[in-house]
Amino acid sequence: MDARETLDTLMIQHGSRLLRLCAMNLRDTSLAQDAVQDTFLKAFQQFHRFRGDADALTWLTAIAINVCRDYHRIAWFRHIDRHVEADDLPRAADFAYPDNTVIRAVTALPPRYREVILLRYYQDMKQKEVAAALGISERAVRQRLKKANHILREELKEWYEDEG
Amino acid sequence: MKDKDFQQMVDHEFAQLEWTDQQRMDTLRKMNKEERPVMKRKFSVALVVTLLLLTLTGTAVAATYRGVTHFLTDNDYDRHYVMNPLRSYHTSHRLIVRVVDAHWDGAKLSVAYHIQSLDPNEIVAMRCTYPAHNHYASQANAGIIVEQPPYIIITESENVHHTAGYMIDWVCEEDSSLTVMITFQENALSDQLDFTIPVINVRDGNNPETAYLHFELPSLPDPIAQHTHDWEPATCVSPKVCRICGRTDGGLGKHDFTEATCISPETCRVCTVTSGPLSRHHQYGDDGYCILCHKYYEHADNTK
Repeated sequence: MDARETLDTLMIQHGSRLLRLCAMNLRDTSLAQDAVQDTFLKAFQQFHRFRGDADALTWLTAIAINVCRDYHRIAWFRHIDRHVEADDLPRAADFAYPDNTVIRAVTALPPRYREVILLRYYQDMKQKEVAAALGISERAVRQRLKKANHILREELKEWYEDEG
Repeated sequence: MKDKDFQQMVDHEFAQLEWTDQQRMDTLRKMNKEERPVMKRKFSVALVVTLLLLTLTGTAVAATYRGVTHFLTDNDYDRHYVMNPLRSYHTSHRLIVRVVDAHWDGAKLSVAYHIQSLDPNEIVAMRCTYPAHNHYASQANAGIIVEQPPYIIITESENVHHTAGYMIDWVCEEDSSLTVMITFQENALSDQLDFTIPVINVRDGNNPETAYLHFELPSLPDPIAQHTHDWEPATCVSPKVCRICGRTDGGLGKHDFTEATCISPETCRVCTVTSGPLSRHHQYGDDGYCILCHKYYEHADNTK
């Protein structure tokens, strides 16, 4: 099976999940579609580096998260006012904010915490895999998860009480 | 919160977000032809950057020249001219040198001087045998001396930093007068508006041993005081600039943005800074590919 066929299979298996990951990370549906396409194109270019023993989803997720980071960076550099964080830039008009309180809270997290939450809980990656995908240490992953959970706990205090 | 709960929550919430077969096919097509668009894109970016650099350089150079155009044309300035003792036939002759014209000719500043003798008994009005350009003729001790260019002027002024390559042409007129054409070959004179030439050495490039002349020139009046500023509007990279003297005033101007496209956001025509997001509107060709970003959409009806 060549690279194109393998990636086609992976697109069928994981395309939607990656799309949702990118959409939550970028908070922009159109950009997310572009990001997923770029993810698979980069995977195609780097396919020779993909070792079959690695989890394909983990590999694609690492690429996708880096593509999203590039998009964030580009969005920031494209903006004149360098004092404004990329996350504070105007949101895409076509991104429908979720009604779900938990997802809304995750989406509102700062990017560094949002990334670890999405990788750890949505992509179901181990801390070691998250660390490899983000290019940080496992200790940093643990700290970010702790901080992210702390923020979420504060944000979702009322929700937890309602859920009982 | 359990992982599975969160996954189900997200999948349920974003159920409408599916990686469709259409998008899958688009991606596969792009994989097939990814090499060419990447090359094209790189080439396009390089081309745009080159053009922008050329434009900016041209604008800056043009602005520099506009800034000093005609800064000497309004007045004649007297100069004193003393011959260098190395030239026996030029000893102690005092002349008045007048600036009769100064203008930019392409990248060169041409200044025309008119030279008169202060003492007609010593030099009889610089009689010229050959009324033509590019000849130097003078009468000293009743002799006619004709020399060929190039003549090179080297100034010793602290205020003129870019004067290593002046050319000088001498024009002998039928009316027994001599006009000296001095061409500044250096380009960077925009900061020379407090232009003073206290001393100029003129060296005959063809005969360096004997051709040293010595000009004594008083300082020029400050040309800035002699004109009303003619302001070039401010841009995002420079405040407004006087076209005559090059003085600046006020702060920077606003950016001059182009419209955003699907491959580039709004871009300032002057400084190339970008602003805002990419445009979501693609420009599809008949083949279904956007002519700018090469994204493929099967329904090429200008909607995504």
